[in-house]
This record gives sequence, structure tokens and C-alpha cells, in this order.
Amino acid sequence: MYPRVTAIVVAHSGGPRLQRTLDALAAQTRKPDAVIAVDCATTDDAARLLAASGPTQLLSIPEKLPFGAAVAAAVRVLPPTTSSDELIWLLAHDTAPEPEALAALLAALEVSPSVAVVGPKLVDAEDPAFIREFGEAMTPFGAAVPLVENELDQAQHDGLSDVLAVSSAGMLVRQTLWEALDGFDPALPTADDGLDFCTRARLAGYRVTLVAQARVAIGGDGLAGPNLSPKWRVRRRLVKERRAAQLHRRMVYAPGWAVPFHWLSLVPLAILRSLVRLLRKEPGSIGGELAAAFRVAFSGMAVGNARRRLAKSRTVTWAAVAPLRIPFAEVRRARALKREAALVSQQGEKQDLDFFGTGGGWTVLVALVAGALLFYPLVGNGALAGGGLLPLDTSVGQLWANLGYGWRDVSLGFTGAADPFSAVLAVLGSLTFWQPSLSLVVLYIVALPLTALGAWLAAARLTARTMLRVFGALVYTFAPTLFLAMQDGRPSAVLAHLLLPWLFFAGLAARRSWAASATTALLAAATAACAPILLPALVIAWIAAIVFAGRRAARIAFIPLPTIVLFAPLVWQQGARGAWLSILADPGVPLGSRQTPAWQLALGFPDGMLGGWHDLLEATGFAHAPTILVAILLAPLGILALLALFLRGTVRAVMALLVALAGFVTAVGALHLQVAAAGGTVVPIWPGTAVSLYWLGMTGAAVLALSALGRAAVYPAWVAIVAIGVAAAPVAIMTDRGTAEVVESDGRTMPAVVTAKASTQPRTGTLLITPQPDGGIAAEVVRGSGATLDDQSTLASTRRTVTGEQSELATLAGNLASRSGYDATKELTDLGVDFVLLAPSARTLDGNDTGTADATQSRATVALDANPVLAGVGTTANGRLWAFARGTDAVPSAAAIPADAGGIWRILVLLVQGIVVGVTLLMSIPTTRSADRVAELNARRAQGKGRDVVAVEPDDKPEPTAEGDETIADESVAEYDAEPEDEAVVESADEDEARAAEPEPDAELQAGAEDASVPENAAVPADIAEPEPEPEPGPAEAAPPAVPPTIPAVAPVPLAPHADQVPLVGRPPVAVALPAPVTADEAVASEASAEDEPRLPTRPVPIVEEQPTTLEDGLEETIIRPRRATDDGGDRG
Amino acid sequence: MADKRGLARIGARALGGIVGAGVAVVAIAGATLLPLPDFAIGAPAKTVRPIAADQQRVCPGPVLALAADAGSATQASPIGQANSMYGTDGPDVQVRSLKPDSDADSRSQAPQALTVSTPEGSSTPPLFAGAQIQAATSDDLAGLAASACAEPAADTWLVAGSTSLGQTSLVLLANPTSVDATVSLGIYTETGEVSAPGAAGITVPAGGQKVVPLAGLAPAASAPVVHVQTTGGEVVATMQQSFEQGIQPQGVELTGGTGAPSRQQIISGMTIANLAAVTAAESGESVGVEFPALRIFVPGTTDADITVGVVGEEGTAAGTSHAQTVKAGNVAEIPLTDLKDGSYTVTVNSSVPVVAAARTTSIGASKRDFAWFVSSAPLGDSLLAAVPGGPGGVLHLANPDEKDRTVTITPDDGKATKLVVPAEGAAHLAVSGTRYTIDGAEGLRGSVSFAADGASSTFALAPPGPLAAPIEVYPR
Repeated sequence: MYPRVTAIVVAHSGGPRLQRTLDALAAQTRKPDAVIAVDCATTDDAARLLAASGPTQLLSIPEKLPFGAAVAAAVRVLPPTTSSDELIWLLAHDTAPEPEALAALLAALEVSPSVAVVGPKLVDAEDPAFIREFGEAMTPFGAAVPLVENELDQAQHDGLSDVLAVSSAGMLVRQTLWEALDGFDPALPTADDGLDFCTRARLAGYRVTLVAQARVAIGGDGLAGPNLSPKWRVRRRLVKERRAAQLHRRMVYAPGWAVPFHWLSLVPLAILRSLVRLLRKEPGSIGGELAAAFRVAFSGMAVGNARRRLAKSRTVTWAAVAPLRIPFAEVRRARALKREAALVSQQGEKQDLDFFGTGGGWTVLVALVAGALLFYPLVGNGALAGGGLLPLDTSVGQLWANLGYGWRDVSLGFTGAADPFSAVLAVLGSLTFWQPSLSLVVLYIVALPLTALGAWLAAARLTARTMLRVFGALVYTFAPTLFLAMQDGRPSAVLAHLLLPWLFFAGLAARRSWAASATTALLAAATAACAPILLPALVIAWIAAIVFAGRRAARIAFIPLPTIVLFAPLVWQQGARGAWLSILADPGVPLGSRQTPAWQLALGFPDGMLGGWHDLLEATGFAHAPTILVAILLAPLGILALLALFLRGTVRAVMALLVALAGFVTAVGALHLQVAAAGGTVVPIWPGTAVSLYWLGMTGAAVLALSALGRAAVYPAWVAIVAIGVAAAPVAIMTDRGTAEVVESDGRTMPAVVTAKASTQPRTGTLLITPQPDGGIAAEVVRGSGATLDDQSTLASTRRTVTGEQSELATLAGNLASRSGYDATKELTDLGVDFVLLAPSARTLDGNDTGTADATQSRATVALDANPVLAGVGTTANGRLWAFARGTDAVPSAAAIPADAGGIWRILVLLVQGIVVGVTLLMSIPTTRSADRVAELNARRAQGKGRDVVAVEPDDKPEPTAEGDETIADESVAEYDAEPEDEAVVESADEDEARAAEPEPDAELQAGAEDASVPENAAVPADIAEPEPEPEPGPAEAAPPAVPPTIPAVAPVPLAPHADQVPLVGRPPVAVALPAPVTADEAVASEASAEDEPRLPTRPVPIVEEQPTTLEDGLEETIIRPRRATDDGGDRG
Repeated sequence: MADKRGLARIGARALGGIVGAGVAVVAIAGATLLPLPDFAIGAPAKTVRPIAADQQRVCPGPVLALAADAGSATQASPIGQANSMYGTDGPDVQVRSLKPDSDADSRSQAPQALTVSTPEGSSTPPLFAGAQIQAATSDDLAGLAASACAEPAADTWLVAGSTSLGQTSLVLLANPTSVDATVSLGIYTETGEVSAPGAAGITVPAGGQKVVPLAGLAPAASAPVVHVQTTGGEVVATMQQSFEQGIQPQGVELTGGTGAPSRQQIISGMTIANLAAVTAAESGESVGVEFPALRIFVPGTTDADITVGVVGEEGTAAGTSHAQTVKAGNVAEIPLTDLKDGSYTVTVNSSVPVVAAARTTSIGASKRDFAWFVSSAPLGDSLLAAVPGGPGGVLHLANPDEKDRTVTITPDDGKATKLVVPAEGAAHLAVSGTRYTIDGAEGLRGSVSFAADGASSTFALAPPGPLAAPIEVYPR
């Protein structure tokens, strides 16, 4: 009988696409017998166009129904039929069939009565030679897999016939079957509708085939068929849709007994998968992941209805569709092919950093040797003392317990926010977990090499020349401010100096990937924690970066997040005190610093003594000798930095000098901010860290100037290095000469008697009285074996008023240090004080006039000696000690740490900080670029600039190109539309019961196909022997198995061998027109002009399945792209 | 075309470079020269006024003679009895005798510890003072010896004494506290520090006295300075010096601690009497001993450039001044020349902290005596001066400030007198044996001197010890 075809055209919008579809429909060689146009609440010219096309029937539906529902509405107007010759052809407004399409589809249906559904080849609307999708299938665990997607059509897939499913777009289906199956599942409005329908058709005993000759050009609006929109909002929504579809199908296809288990696994699995997403740098997908899980978990009757619908029509077992699934081996192979294609396509965009080839190794070695020579006297007992150095707590657990919000065990103790610096210390201490204090010693030894490495890497962002990288690294490493910070015992300043070049190294790449931006975020948090005074400068840099980042602002905008959560409790508390400026106080032990004239800061010496030159040249008798000498020594650097403005690369030089200016201004400002008190002395913020920033900018500008000088740069570079080495020498050798504040120590800060008691009574108290230069005394209660660096709190050191408890402590200490009628017994007992320690007098920075302090010292000695309740113990290395017999070992309430200090806030703060930092950490771990993703990008590029360009918002424009791995397409797609993975494992639980599990094509789009190389299998317990990843085969995929056109449900015929040889279709010729004409390499070559060291040829990247994710790998990511790096956008001269 | 663009580019760069350099210069110069506002918090502090403790004073007791009993050469024996005067504006003074280190046969011959308790809830300790005087008239020990009843201290400088021929010096250590005091004596002479093994670890029992003959530690020292340091309890250290030429007693003096090392020492009320007789006696072997002199010692290692100013008190005499360098570690005696009879304020300004005291001799018709004038600390606003009954008592007040001061001096049993103390000058008032309340004396230095024909003595008025002064505490 002559088949009767009813074409159903569903329109969500009109415009040229609808016009084209209608025209194509009219141009069919075999015209449909009837056309039902469904106008779904369109607002443009769609209704007019539809009407003008003269459909048999025009339905106007006042809401935007999904495709399946709209088709169902159209089918309802057809008379019910029992004839298998009544066919319906499903079209959307953006699916334009080629003239022979219907004829070819019909031909396939007519010859084989067992075939109930046929699908066309979906090709790109603009480029018909490009296959968008051709057939869908599932893995054995049920993940949707497009059989063919985004490939250049070379007729390589025309042999495909029997498949598990076809896309809903352009599908020709027998009306009887449609009615029998009750149409598309309403719970699958956008994703997997065709896959689910075809699967049910297969289970009902029918076949589904592809017809290669029938071609339908698809616009990719997502109504039917793949959604090709590059908009990240759409992609992100799709992630949710697809995941929800997959989960829904899982619940529907699973055997009844497994449904509760699946239901229970939904949310935990979603959380696990979210973590994996983070690792894969797809933070945008997490929301969709969780939303999908919740939506399916609470979808009401949807699953039940779908299960009933499936059961009603099913006539064969799940085993019938098993052969049509894509085996895992195939999935893996496809992924490998894709990765290969991806690597090939990325070749030439990556530049080897060539660490060892351009002097990195030697530079670090030199710094290591210098560090070892200068600081070996500190190696010894495993701890440091002097200046702001205290030991760390002996327990790593305690280091971590200090984080967040809670009990601050400073003196009397209080509940408050931890300094973010304590997090840095916790990390540091954990590195030498067996003896946390040792990490500070190690820090002193490796500070120089680590600084040199960071500075070398940062310099590598600016230049490719060996000499200049070495110059940058050494000049920054031998900064006097670093040595001053080390010799004065300022661990936080040392760390800040060390971290700054790393921060810039990572920060300059932050736009390029989530990994880099997360790394930057962590480094920024650490830097700010070490030197809060840098916060204003960092915020300015961040704002500037956002302005220049354009569309990538999301990655940049994310950077401050860890810093914000680390600082939030502290900021909140300081704000509540009204002491906003106190946020900027240096963490750790407050140390005084001299008021240094600004010109000395400009010379890079923040100590007011020109780093020892004053003492050294005092003998000459010429007061200005040190000034003049140091100025001469630093002149080369200053001249080079300013010279950069006159030479090629001005814009970048301006950037570098602005950084220097920010550092300088911050340093000057720091000295005028005196927000912390050390005993009776109010101390300014140490300007040295800001000088580090200044030095970094100066070094950068000098490197730029030298790179513009070309070959001649060698001489000024050496002059500058040597001069700075000489300038820093007096301060560098302080430790060797024994004149530094820092000395090695055994970690004891209290007399042995106290330490011994503290070993059995950790809360034993010592009242520490320190005579102050002004004649007063500082009073503090020290618990246990002494103060530790991680105990310090800026909340305590920046306190501006005396609390009630402190007032009582003051009264106690003041009376103990005086001839007094005060009976200290009660107060000492209440405070749990067992010892009174009179420390040596605090020195002023000049250290000369100690008369007043000494008078106080002797007054206190006399008074304490004469105090009948105290028994003199004697003079110890830490001062004179008296013991007080409390008469009990019980810990009084004032001495005990309250069990619930911080309460709910402690938990909340720790939770939020832990999550944010943990998430950032996960994202910062470099992972392999997803092969699927890259392949898809290639495909996308292939398909023509025109479309992508229009698809993107105009503001991406500024990114002309050179960004290697990142094109517009990449940008828009990659981040946001991660393709969900399947929890293969969970499904595998019901493996026996079948492949009954769920198949699902994430059909309409592989666009978002994300790498599936890390399935969460590992995390899920299961009986599965083999954790199979669930791939979405990419374009490079071989031909899927073809099932011969026999009756389904019969034993499968051997699968056609996969066409292993499928060429790199993923990267068709068009793709060569990468929008990256200027590679970094060229940029540098042209920029750095000089023919200095020959550029290394780009190394062919070995094609491996798993790309290494090592540091080396990370380094390789360094693309030398000077212009980009400084955001100047090109001062090509 | 290309050239034009090139030129424009170079021009732009040059401009940019010059602007950049300008910004750098402006930034550095501006930050260096401009007065930038400071933001500074104050270190959180609390001024603690120590709860007033019981105040103690110790009167050293009568002068002692060594080997008065031929049986034991080192046994000290008291001679006669001192006449003491003490008082307070608070509750009663409790007096107790310390256990003497002499063969005293009566409790009144022992050092007296005076105690005043501070009333409950009182924020300031009561005014409290005491002093003693004794006119000794034994065969070989005669003269006028006055001394303040001093507050025990852990660190006392005694600038007096001598162990040269005819001179006997005893260091009297009295410990009124309830713990034993371990005393070490640092002895310095004109030849430097004396290392005397017996000078360290001298135990002064709680509530007892210890007498240390200086000759045993530093024999033949004509100008010793003794630094008394204690641990444990605190002591009152007094130097008793007596001079006997031939069999003729030439005077005796009890000298309390002088001011702690400081760059400025002020000795108030140095009185010179009968200088003509002294000059006349200036002959033979006794050269210099009678002549007014300033004994000065520089602790530490840096030589001191000192300026000595001697200013006559209102209505007495003009002054003199001179400068010289004193070697660190050695005691120097500087003769005070060009003076006439009268009362003087001696001011020593030094480049490094020094200790100082002055000595004068009074030669009378038949007898002679000497006196040591010590420097003292600034007085508080109001104080009590106890003047024991002695001959020719005079209260001296010196004013180092640049403004005249008027003090009110009220005797216990009389009418208040107003005394104007001129700026950078001094004033005096004759007093007799009673207690005087002095108001408005903040920052002044004071002393009381006694003089008669061939007899003189003095003691300084000391403020309460710094031990009980308010203290700034920076709690953490």
C-alpha cells in the first residue's frame, strides 16, 4: 500500500531557518501527503511563515511545548490508524531536509516491515559536508553515545544501518508504533528523547535504521537534535538536561528491585561527580549536576509513568538491544583517537619552557648554593629563634586546629578569627610533619632557590632569552629586602617575597585555564595571608586583570575567592571593632621597624640602615658614604627599569613600573600605619613585603628593557647583577657573621623548669613580665611550654583597648613588679599561674639606652624577690624565674581552653573555608585536557568561523588569537558544558539483569562532550571488575557496530569490525585555519628581536593516552607570549 | 610613511619615558619630603598604682666602735645612743629593734625598724619619715652624726668612707624584711675596682644587722665607693666613717645611700663652715682631707665628661663651676675650690651616668667634724621631714627647674611658713627638732644639715622608693 506520510513541523521560532525548512519541505521529490505545522507560542514571523507555507493543518499552541509534546499534540489531530503505512515525519523549525530526504527515508521503511523508525544523516546547516550527528547508541552501562558526530562527511559512515537509536530530528516513524509507544517520554523534553523512543521501539520488537542518503541540515537550536548553541548559559543548562535525562532513563530502565538503590545513589553520586568535575576544571557544571540529581530524585510520577509505558510495549528482553550498545573497548579506543587528534591539533601552540635549556637549572642551583652558604649556621637543632621567629606547635594536628575561627591561645586567650597566615603555617608545618618547627629552618635554606625558581618562571613569561631569565631570577632573588626579612626573622615577609613571583607566574596565565586561575587563587591567598599590606595592591591588580580579561573574567573574578573566605572572619571581627586598617597588620609576632626615609625604600632597603652599609662605612667618617655607595650600586637596575619606557615594549614596561609604583606607595604607606603593639611599642607594618613587590616590578621592567636592547643586553645585565649582589652582601652575610637576629635554637622558649612542668601539665601558666623601654612592663600569661608562631593573632596584637580580664592581669603584674601590699595568691591561683618569669628588658631598635628598662628590671626583681608568695628559682637563659605554689594541679577555668570555643561559627567557618579552598585546590591540580573536548573544538572550528563569531558576544573580540589552547569556541563551550560521565559502576550493579540498565544517548550534543577519562568508578564500591569509563565517542570515532537487518531480539550477528583507521576527521582541512595566526613563538621572536639564543624548535608532543600531569607538564604550558602576558594587547612597535 | 610612523613612535616613547621618570622622581621625592599623615594606635596600657604596702624605714642606730673591747678586734660596740625623730600622717608608727651585729646591751642601741601600715582602702600611702642624730663624744670617736631613717632597697650606692690612715669605715647593713638578704658589695677606689672575696655573699639575716668593716675588704683606700646589691630581702646600707688623728677624734659621720647612677646628680645643702680654718689646717700630711671635695664615680666603661656647678643658696654665697673628664671605673675626688662659707647646691652633669657625693669639714675651736652630703632624688609634692633635735638645723631645698617655686612648710606644732625656692637656685629654712610637712615640693631636692662649732652633719630628704611608684602595664 502506498505509504502516507504526515510531516509534522514544530516551530519555536521563525526567521530564515523556519523559512528554509518550509522551503525544503516544499522542495521534496517525494512530498509528504500532509503537513501539520505546530506553532508553539512563537512571537516572531513564524506563524505567518507557517501559514504561508500552506500546511494541511496549522496548530497554534499557546505555550512552548518541548518537541515530543508538540509532536504528540499534532499526532492527536490525526485519525487513529492501524495501518503500518501511516508514517509521521518529525521536523523542527531548524531542520531542513534535502530534496531527496523523504524519498530515501521512505525507501528504507518500505523495504523492511520490521523497521519502524528511520533517521536521516543530520548535517550542518551551513556546511552540508559536515556531519553533525548520525545515529545514537548507549554504552553497556547506559550512557548516551552519539555514533557519529561532528565529522567531515567522506561517506565513511554510509554503511551504517541498524542502530540502537536515531535522533528525534528528521525521524520518520510509523504512526502505529508512535501510538503504541505513547510517543516520546514527557520526562525527556530536550535530551535523549529520540534515544529513549528508539530503545522502546527496539524493545517492542522493531528495528531502527539510519539512512545515509537522507540528509537533513540541522540548525542546532536544540528543539530537536543536537543543540549547537555556543552560549555558555545554554551549554550549562544542557549539562543539567542531559544528566537529568540519563538519570531518568536509569531509573526507568533499571529492574524494579534496583530502583530504590539507584534512587539512594542519586545525590551522593552527584556530589562525587561534582568533585570530578572540579578536577576537570568544569566548575560551571556542578550546579547542573546537583540540580539534575535532585530533579530526578523528586520527579514525582515521571519515573513510574515511564516505567509503565516501557513495560506495556516491551515484547523482547533487554538482551535484544545488547549487541547494539557500544562496547567499552570501543569507547576507550574512540577516546584515544580523539586525544590523538586533539594533540595534533594543538601542536605548535604549546611552547616548551625549556627549563634546563635556558638556564633555569643553573640559576636555581646558584641560589641553592648561596642559600646553603649564607644560612648553614641555622641548621642544627631544628628550630629558629630571634626576631619574629618562634617554634611551631609540635603537633601538626594542632597547627590545623588553629585555623578558621575559635580559641586563640594568646595570653589569656579569647575566641576569635585565626589569621589567614596560620593556614600557611599549617601547610608549611605539615611538610615536616615529624617536627613542624623544622619547616622554618628548611624555609631559610630553600627560600633563595625557591624564589629564584619562581622569579625565573615569571621572567620566562617576559622573555625567552637565557641571559634575561637568569638576570630576572638573580636580581629578584638577591633583593636586599629578602635578606633583611630573613636576618630580622620575619617568616611571613620571607614567604611573601618567595610567593610573589610565583603569583605573577600563575596569574599571567590565569585567563588561560581554570587550573592556572585556581593556582593563582591559592597563591594570592597565601601571599595576602603572609602580607596583608599587599591586599590593596593585589586588589588593584585584580581589577585591572578583570578589565583586560574580557569574556574570561569568570576565571579572573574567581581568584580572590579563597582569599576572601580566609580573611572574612578576621575582617568581620576587625570591622566590628571599627579597626579596618588593622586587617593589614603583619601576622606573626609584631616586630618593630625603623622609620625609613622613602628614598631608602626606593633603593630597596626597608630597614633604615641600608642593610648594614651604615655600620660598614661608619669608619669612613663620611656620613653620606653609605647612601652614595648604595645608590651607585643600585643605579644599573633603576636605569634599566626606566629605560624600558624608552624602548620597544613600552606598554608592558608601563605595567611593570606600575607594579613597582604600587609596591613603593604601599611600602611608604606601611610605615605610616602603626596598628600593632609589641608590648609598649607601637610598631609600623613592615614595608619590606611591599618593597618586594616594588622590586618585582623593577626587575620586570629591567628585563623588558634588556630584551629590547638585544644582544648588547649582556653587559648591563651582568653589571646590574653584580652590583646588586654587592649591595646585598652586607645584609646577606649577617647570619654567617653572627650579627643577625635569627639564630638557631632548640625550640625552647621557656626555662627548662617550666618546660618540664608543661610536659605533664600542658596548661601550666607562666606570667611573663618584660620591662619595656619606656619603663613600663608588658605582661602576658604563657601557657604550657611557651608561645608558638601559629598561636599569634593580629586580633591580639592590634587590640586598642584593655579588656576587663587584661586589666586584672595588669593589676596583678603591676603589683608583682612593685613593692605592694597586694596579695597575689588568689589572682595567681585563679589564672592558673605556676611561674613568674621576668624576661630581659625589651630593647629599642637602637638598643642603646636601656637605662629606664633596666631600672624597671631591677625594681621588678626586687619586688618579686621580696614577694613572700613566690619562691625564687633562679636566673635562666630566658630571664629570672619564680615559682608559685598553687597547691593543686587542677586546671582552673581561666586556664582551660573552653571546649565550645567558637561554637557553631567555628564549624561554619571551617566548613566554608575548607570547601572553598578544597575546591580551589582540586581545580588547581593540572589534569589532562579532555580529548572529547578538544576534538569537539576542532570540529567546531571546522565548521566555520562565521557561526562562532556571531555566536559569541562581541566582547570576546579583543582576544585576537594567539592563546593556544583556547579559541572562542573553546571558551564558550569548554568550561560550561561538561558532558557528564556515567556512573558506570552503579549501573553495573544490575549488570546481569541486563544491559537492561540504561542506554542513553546524550544525543543531541556532544558539543559538551567532556573528557571521560576519569570516571568515578573508583569511588563507588562495586562488583565490577573493570571500571569502565563512559565515553562519548567523538568524531574520530570509528564506525559503530552495525547490526544486520535481521529481526531484532535475535542473537546478534557479529559486529562489523570497527574501522580503526578512521582518519583524523576530527580535524578536517578547514580546521587548519585556526584563528591563531601568530603563535607565541613568533610573537617572541619578533618582539625579542634579538637573535640571541636560537629558539628551540617546537618539540613534537608524543602521543600518549594519558598525558602526564607533572610540573614539567605544567611548565610546558607556559606559552611565551609577551604581549598577552602583560595584557597590553600588542605594542608591536 | 614608515619613517613618519617610526618618528611618531619614537616620540611617543620618549614622551612616555620622560613622564615615567618624572613620576618616579615625584613619587620618591614626594614620599621623602612631604609630611605624610600617620595612623597610629596607642599601645593598650593600664597604669597600675601598686596597692600601698606597709612602709618601712630603718634608723641605723648609734655609731659603732670597732674593738672597743680589746678582746675581739672585729667586734663592734655601740657608743651611746642616737636621738631619733619620726612621724607619719597615717596610723601609728610601729617601732621594733633589729638584732644588732654589736654587743649592744640595750634594745635602744640597736637599729630601729619603723613600720607604718597603710589603712585598708587607702589609695596613697601615708607620709612617713624618720631621722636620727647623735653627738658622739667618746675618747676616740666624737662628732655629730645625723642620718635619715631610710627605706630598704636592693641597690644602694654609698659614696663616702675611707680606709686610709686614721680612717675607719664600717658598712652597716640592716635587713628589716622577713627574708634573709644576700648582699654583695662592689667596692671601687681611686685605683679601680677592688676584688675582695669577702665582699660577695654576705648574709644579712632577716630582721638583723650586719656590720662590715671596709678596711678588711679595701685597705688603704682613701676614696672608696661601695655599691650594695642584695637578693632576697632588702637592706638599708649606711656608711659610718670616723677619723682619728693620733689620739684626737676628728669627727664621725653616718652616710646613707646617694642617688642612683644618673646623668645628673644634685646635692642640696652642702654647707661649708669656717673655710679659713680649713685652709689654714691645709698643711703637712693631712692635705686634702679637710678641704671640700666632690667624690665622683663612673660605673660602666665609658669615661664621663662632667660639669660641676656649685651654686650658692639664696643669701649665702656665689658659686663656681668647672668641667673635667672622669675616668670610668675609678673614683675621683674633685676639690671644690673658690668657695666661701655658706650653703651650696652642687649639680653634676655628666655624659654618662655617675654617682657623686660631697664632703666638707668643719673646724671649730676645739674639735672638728666632717659631713658627707649625698645627692637625692626629686621629692614628691608633699612630704614629711623629720628633723631630730640637733644643733643648728637647716632645711635646704634646691630647685633645678626654671621656675620659682613656693613651698609651704608646716611644723608639727607651729605655723606654716612659705618659702620661695628660686629657679635654678635653692633656699633654706632654719628648723628645730620636730616634724615638718612640706607641700608643693614636687621636683625639688632637699636635705637637712646640722652645724655647730666644730660639728656638722647632714642627711638628704628622700622620696618614697620608686618600687611603689605607679607603673605602666601593657597586658596582652
